[in-house]
Amino acid sequence: MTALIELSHLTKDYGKFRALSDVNLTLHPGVTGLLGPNGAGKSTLIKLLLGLVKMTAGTGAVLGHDIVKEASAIRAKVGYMPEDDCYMHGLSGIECVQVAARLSCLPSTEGLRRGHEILDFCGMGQERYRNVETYSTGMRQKLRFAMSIVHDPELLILDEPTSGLDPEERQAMLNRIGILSKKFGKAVMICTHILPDVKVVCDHVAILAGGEIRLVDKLAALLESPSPSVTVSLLEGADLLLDRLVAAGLKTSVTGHEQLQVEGETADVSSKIWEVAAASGIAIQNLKASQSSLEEVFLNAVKETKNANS
Amino acid sequence: MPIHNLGYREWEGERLSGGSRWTVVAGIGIQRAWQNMWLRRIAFVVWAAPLMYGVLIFFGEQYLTAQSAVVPPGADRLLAQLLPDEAMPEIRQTLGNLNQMSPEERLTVVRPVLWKAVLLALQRSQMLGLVLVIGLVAPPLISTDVRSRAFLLYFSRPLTRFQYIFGKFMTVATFVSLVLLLPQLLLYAFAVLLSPDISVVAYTWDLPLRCIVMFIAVATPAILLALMLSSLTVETRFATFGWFAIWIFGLVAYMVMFNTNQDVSGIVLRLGVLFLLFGDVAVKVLGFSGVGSNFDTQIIFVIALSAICATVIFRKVSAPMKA
Repeated sequence: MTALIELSHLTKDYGKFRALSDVNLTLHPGVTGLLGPNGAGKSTLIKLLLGLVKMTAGTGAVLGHDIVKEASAIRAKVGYMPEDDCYMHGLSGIECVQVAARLSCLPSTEGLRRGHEILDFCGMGQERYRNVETYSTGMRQKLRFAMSIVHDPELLILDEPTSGLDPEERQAMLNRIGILSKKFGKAVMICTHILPDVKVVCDHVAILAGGEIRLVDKLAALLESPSPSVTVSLLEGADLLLDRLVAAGLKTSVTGHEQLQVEGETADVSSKIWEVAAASGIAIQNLKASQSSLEEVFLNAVKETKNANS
Repeated sequence: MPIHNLGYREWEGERLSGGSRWTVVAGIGIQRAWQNMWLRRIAFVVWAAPLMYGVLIFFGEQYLTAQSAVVPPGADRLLAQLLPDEAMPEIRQTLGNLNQMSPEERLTVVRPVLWKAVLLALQRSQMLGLVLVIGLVAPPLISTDVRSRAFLLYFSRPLTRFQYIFGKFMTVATFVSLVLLLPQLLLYAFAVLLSPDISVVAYTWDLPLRCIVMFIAVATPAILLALMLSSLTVETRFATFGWFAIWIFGLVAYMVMFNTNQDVSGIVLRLGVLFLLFGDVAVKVLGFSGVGSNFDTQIIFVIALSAICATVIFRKVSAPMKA
């Protein structure tokens, strides 16, 4: 599988401050979530990928182009949606998208046609003819997304794409990202703090903290529990079932309100759990293989950095 | 979903070459600036001066092509009021020899001097238009992009910083050429049309070129200075104030010195007051002898001013990326 982004020993210093330290990262096609606390170096990493700032040390390539020597070629193939509330002053929405298309070398008329098409895709109606200064945060967010995809990029870098959107719009935005990725094979890198969004759309996750890549893996692999176990959810009677399961020789613990965790492979323990519950007259609401939460994975990765720093 | 919504579609058309990206930046600037009603009014009013000087050339041509050309009484006083002081010595010398000239000599010798003087006078009258137009167009160009953080939208595209700045420069240059260069070229074309035959071009072919050089020498440092002020702040009004303050304070300093009979040919004054600096450059480019003999110093100063302004703009435009 060809790597979309390959970074090797990438380091970036701002004066005496080291923003990125010896970053090694290989990203493959699909949707990758780049997670990290504030000040982790995510924005610096994006600027380096786009060739907007120069690295202090290391090498890197995006879509096969060197990030130092071929920055212009990279920017022609990449669509970037900034997190900042930035806009082109004095222009209407459709003019902004047309300008974005023309800056990526689409002909003027084609830029206008495609601009309308993309704004339709992004769910923008007649407000496209209004001046962008009058737009709400959510509308500007959609406009920036439209500007980032108008030139049909191979790789999309989206910085906080769902921040400032209401739940309905957030879902619509995630659907659009899903369509671009699954239906049109676009590679997407999403920088976000909203972990539920990552769980919905991402295939891979990279966690950046303290200027270092702490973790890169498939999302499914990260969510697998370190030791196999089964989570049992009940409406009532958790204490009674706990006692009965322990008495039956199963290693069981309480993990939440009316929720138990039973250690062992699902296939091995599930039939025994059902039997004990039936014998005890307790109704099981849900029974499934346990997963680690993404929050847990994220916090552990960040904590490791803090511990290493201290 | 609207019935016209085709969803996302891939685009496989042919892309244009990257060399024209600056025209996109310039196009945005021109479109935005043209929405200013005051700019449209000024762009209309500045055409009054070329019309007036066109009439002067018309009567000049009538006089020069007449069978017996004798300098009418009072002509010197009238010309001194209409034409710049720097042009008058050469005009007087030429008109003084008029009686000894053949009709053909009148056309080949007197005409270029008269036209040059008229073009210089037009340039002087259009300087106010230049100051006003640049003051209206340039200050918001970079400052609003800094304020609205549009840099990320521009530079995440394959657009270089040079192309961005050149696009901004050409935005202002378009409007400045509308008030400075275009009227001069049209006045020249008008003068050629009033001439008895096309052979006049052989004696005056250098004038349009001089007008273009004069435009470049005056407009380039002025535009770069205004863009530099725009790049130094996120508040457009501060850049506008800085631009007009430079011109007004310089003019006031000159008027105070002139009215108190102090020497106004000193190099410091002629470099520091932009009206004088650009005026002197224009005089020299059109081939007249100026007030002082500091033309080389003034040209070096103009080039240095342009270079410093361009450097500051590049640094300020690059700064948000490094933050």
